Amino acid sequence: MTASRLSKRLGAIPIPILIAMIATLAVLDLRASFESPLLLFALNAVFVSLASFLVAYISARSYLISGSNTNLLLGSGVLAFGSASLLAGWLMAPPGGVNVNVTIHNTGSLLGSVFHAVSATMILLGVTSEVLRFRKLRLIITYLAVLVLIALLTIASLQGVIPTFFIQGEGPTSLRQGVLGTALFLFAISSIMFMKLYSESKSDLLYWYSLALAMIASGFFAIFFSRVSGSPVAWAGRCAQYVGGIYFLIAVLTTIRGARTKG
Amino acid sequence: MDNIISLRDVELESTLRRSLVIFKARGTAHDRDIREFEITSKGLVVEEKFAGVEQILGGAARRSMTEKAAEAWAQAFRGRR
Repeated sequence: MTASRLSKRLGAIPIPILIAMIATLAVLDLRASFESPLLLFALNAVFVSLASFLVAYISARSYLISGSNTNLLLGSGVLAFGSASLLAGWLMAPPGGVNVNVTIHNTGSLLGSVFHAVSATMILLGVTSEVLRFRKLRLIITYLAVLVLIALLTIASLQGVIPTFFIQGEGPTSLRQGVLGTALFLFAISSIMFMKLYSESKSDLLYWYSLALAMIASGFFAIFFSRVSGSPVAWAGRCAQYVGGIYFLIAVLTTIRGARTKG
Repeated sequence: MDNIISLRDVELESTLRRSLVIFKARGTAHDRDIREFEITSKGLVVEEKFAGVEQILGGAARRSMTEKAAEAWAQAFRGRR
């Protein structure tokens, strides 16, 4: 067995373990809560946002080279997800709170999942298009638009313009369940589509990218059943997303290593 | 000497391309980018700088690691054709 195949098999091990843990915790429905805004911000920043921004950067460079819209969509998706996670982690503390944290994270994730699903569908159907002119301008405008949208969602959430997503102790509202459920579904579908592409191309990058999306979807699955912010099942969901971030990093490192090997 | 301009051929991915860089210009600030140029029927056309390429002046030009990684990334997500 080659080192690459072994590492891929080992890399997939956390997925069933985390899913089993999430399922067990969801059934037990433990209501104990531990919330540390600083810890949440640090973990979100390192494991989700930093990894997402790296993927957004390499997707941007790829778009400038290839002009492929799918690269731009992927980059925009991870940028939305990463920036929303960063802001959500930061705003767990005042002037935010649990509801603001959940609203920003879930809406940003929905935006990211839509970009991913569209991109994966385009790649799978072979309907990708390539832009020849004004790539840099298009990239700047798109990334800026994503960041502005996340900023507007944050401001709207802080101002109380967006309907309530989460009431601590009572649990999520039906609106939040709809938003998170859709994001979960789209990330899961995207993961399956990328795995299908991996089965055809055998590109390691696609394998790790698919696993990253699968872990993020698993994390959302856990959060979906969480009635209390900071509960064990909520933390299991967060851990799954952090593992997803690590898989994003592995996807980037795999690409860099491949580029170095080719010389 | 008032100005020093280097014009040289650059081998990059099995293609011979032309580079231009201004080393020195007396009494004035100047562009320090290493740019590609072409000799056309209308004269010399200076184009964009060599983005993502290293070692041009060393004579062994090659794409930077980031550029290669970005290219591999684009290739992977290009999918079915």
